[in-house]
Amino acid sequence: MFHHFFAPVSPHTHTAEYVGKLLFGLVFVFAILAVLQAAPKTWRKSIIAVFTFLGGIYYAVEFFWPADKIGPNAGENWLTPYQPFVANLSAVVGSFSVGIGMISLLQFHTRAIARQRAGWGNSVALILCFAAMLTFGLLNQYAPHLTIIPPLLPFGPFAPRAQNSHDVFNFLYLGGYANLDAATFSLIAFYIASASYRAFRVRSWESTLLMVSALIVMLGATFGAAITGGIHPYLSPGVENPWANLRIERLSEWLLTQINAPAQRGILFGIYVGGLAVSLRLWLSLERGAYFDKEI
Amino acid sequence: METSLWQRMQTIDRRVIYALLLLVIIVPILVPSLGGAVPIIPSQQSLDFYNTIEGLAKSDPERKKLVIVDGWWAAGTRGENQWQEQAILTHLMQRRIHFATLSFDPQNKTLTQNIAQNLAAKYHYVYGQDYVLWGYRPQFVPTLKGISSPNGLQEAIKTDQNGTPLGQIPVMKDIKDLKDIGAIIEITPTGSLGTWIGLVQGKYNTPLLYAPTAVMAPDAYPFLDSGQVSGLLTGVKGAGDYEQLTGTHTFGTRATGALSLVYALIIVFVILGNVGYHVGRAAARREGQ
Amino acid sequence: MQHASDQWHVAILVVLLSLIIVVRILLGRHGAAPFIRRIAGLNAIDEAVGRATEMGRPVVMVPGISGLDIVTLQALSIFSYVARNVARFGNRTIVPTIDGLTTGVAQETLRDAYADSGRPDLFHEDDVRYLTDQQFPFALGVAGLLTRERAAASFLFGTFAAEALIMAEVGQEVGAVQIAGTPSTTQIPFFIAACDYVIIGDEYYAATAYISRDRTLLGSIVGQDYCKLILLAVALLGCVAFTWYQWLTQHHHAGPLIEHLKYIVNYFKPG
Repeated sequence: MFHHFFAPVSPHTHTAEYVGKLLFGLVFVFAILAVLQAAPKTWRKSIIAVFTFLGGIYYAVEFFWPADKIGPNAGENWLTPYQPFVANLSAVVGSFSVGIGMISLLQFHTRAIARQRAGWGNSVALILCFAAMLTFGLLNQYAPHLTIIPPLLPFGPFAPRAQNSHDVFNFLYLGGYANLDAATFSLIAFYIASASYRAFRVRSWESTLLMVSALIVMLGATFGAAITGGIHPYLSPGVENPWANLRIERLSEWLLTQINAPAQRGILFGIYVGGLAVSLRLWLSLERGAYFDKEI
Repeated sequence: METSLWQRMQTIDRRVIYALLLLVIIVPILVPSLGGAVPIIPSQQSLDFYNTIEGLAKSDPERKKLVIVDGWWAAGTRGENQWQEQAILTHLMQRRIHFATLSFDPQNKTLTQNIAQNLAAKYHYVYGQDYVLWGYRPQFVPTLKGISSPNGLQEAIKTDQNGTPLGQIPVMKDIKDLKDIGAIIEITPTGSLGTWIGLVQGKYNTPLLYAPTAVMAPDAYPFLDSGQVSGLLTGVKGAGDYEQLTGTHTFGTRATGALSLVYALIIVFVILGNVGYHVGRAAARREGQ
Repeated sequence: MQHASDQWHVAILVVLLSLIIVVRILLGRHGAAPFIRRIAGLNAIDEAVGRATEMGRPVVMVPGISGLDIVTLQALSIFSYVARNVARFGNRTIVPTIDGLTTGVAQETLRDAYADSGRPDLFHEDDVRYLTDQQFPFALGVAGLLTRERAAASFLFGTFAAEALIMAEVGQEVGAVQIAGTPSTTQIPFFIAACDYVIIGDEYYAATAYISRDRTLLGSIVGQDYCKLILLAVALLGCVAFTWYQWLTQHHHAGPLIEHLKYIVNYFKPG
C-alpha cells in the first residue's frame, strides 16, 4: 500500500488520482508549515534537527543493514526497494530551485528596467531571449510542426521550405546557445596562456620546480617524444635501456603517476575526511557559526 | 634602453599573446599537413584504454556483453569530448561490440545520437540489434544505484530514447544487470568518476574507462594506479591518440597537432618572461651599483 | 547498491572515523582550544576587505557551481564572516549564484551578517543575484560582474570546474585581490596561477573553525586529524604487507606468514 500510494501517477491516464494526490500533497505541506509556524520558538531548532536527522537516516541505515546474500533479493535489504521513492523526494525539492531561480532572475531584471539602472538595455535583451527560448522550447515540445516563418521568397535561405517551431528552436538552441557555450569554453585556452606566462617565473625553488614540471608534462603530451626520440628504449632485444627513463614522455608519465597522483591522493584523503566531518556535523545538527546559531 | 627591453619581455600585452595563440590554433587546423607533421605517440593510458576494449572483444566472442557509453558532455566541451566519443564508438563498431549510450545532460542525448547514427551508417551497425540509445536520464545517482542493483538495470533505465521498453529491444534481451556489462565508458567534463567508482565499478570490478576533458584528467591518476580505472583518454590529445590507434584520422588528429604548436608557443612566452625577469633584474642591480 | 555487508572493513572504518569525529566534537566544548597552524589565505581576508574599502570598490563572493550541498554551505559560512567584515567597513558585497535555493540562503546569510554588524541599510537584496544554472554562462556572468563593478576583492569558495580560470583570470585583469578555496583538486593549479591566496584541500573544511575559533568546530578539526592518522597507519600497514609479501614470493618463501600477508593484500584490494 505504501508503494502504491507514493508511486508516480500519469496525469493523462489517471487524471483523478493525479489531481487528488496533488491536492493532498499541497494540503499536507501547508498543514506542516502551519504547525511549524505555530510551534513555540524554543521548539523550532529541535524540530529542524529532527527533520534533518530523519532526512539523512535512510541512506545510512540502508547501507549498514545487512543485505541478502542469496535468493531472489540477493544484494538487497528491506529498505532497498524504497530507494527510488527517496530519490524522487530529493529530485522534487531540487526541481523547486529552477522555479525560484527563474523568479529571482525576472524580478531583478524587471526592477533594473523599471528603475533604468546602468545597463538596463542588457536586462531587456535578457528578458527577450528568455521569452523567446521559453516560447520556442514549449512549442518544440508540444507543437513542433507549427509554421513560424512562411516561405518568404522562392529562393534564398528561407526557400523553399517554411520554418516551423522545431527549426526556430534548433536555430536558437543548437545554432545560438550551444555555439556560444563552446566559444566560452575555448576562452580558457587564451586565459591559460596568459596565466602561464604570468605565473611561471623562476623566483624561488618552489616556483622553479613548478615551472620545470609543467614544461616536462606539456612537452611529454605533445612533441617531447621527438626531442628525446634519439634515446632508444632498448639496448638490445629484451634488454631495456636505463637511459630511456630520461625520455620526455617517460619523465612526464613519472611526474603524473609518481608525484602528482600521490599528492592528489593525500589531498583527497583530507578532503574526504573533511567532507565526512561536515556531513556529520550537519546531519547531527552539531554545526556552528553563520546561520546555524541563529534564533529561528 | 636595455632595461626597457627586458621590462617589455616581462609584460607582453595580452592581446599580442591572444592574437598569436589564435593564429597557432587556426592555421594547423585549416592546413592539415602542418598539424599532421607533429608525430602522435599514444600515451600509456590511451593504450590501456584501447587494450581494454580489445581484450573485451577477444574475451566475449559471442558478444553477450554490453558496453555502457555514458556522456555528460554538452556543446560547451564538444571540442574535446565529441572527438573522444567519435573515436571510441568507431572502435566499438570496428570490433562489433554491442553498446548502449546513456546521457546525463539533455544536450548530450542529441549530440551522441548524431555521432552514433553517422558512424552506424558507415559501419553497418543496426539500431536495436547492435546498439541502443538509452537517452537522457535526469537523476545521476539514482540511475547508477538502479544499474548496480541485482536485475535492476532494465528497471532503472526502462525505455530507450524513443520510448520502446528495453525488453523489446533485441540487444537488451539478456542484459539484466551489471554482471552483463563488459565495460563502462565515461565521457565527461564533470567530476563524476568518484560516483561511478563508489556505486558501480566496485561491485563486480567492471572495467571503467574514463575520457574527460584535459582539466579533469589529473583526478583519475590515483584511480588508475589502484586499478579502479582501466584506461584514460585525456582531452583532445586522447582523441588524437585513439584515432592513431584505430587508424582513423579526423579532427582529433589535426587538433592534437594544433595543441603541440600551442604548447610550443606557451613555452616560448614562459622563456621570454623568465629571460626578461632575470636579465632585467641583473641589469637593474648593475645600474644601481 | 553496495552495502556494508559487501565490505565490512570499509563499514567498520567509516563507523570508527565517524565516532572519532563526533566524540572529539563533544569533547571540544571543554578544555583548552587546540592549536591550528597559520593559514595565509584566511589571514588575508581582512587585508583584502580593507583594501576594497580604501579603493571604494565592492567585494565579490562566488559560492561555486554546485547546488546547495555541504561544499556550498561551507562557502556560505565563510562568506558570512567576510560579509560581517565588509559591513563593518561600510562596503558593498555582491554574491552571484548558480542555484535558486542557494540564492535564498545566501540572501538570508548576508542580511543577517549586515544586521549583526549594525549596517542593515547597506544590504540590498539585488546584490545577491541568481545568474543562470549553466556552468559557462555563469562564468561569463561573473566575469561581466567583476569587470562592470571593478571589484577590488574577489572570493572564490566552493565547487569549481573548468570555468574557474575564466573567473580568476578576469579578476586578475581588473586588479582584484583574489582568495580562492575549493575541494576540487583539478582547479587548484589554475587558482594558484591566477589568485593571490589559495586554500588547498582540507584547509577548506577547516576554514570556518579557523575563522570563528568555535570550540565545536575546532574539536571537529582535531577529530579529522586523528582520522587522517588512522588512514595513514592503514596505508603504511598495506605498504609494509605488500612489500614484504612481494619480497617473500620473489625469494620463494612459503609458510603461514606469507599466507597471512597474502590475505591482508587481497582483502584491501579494490573491487
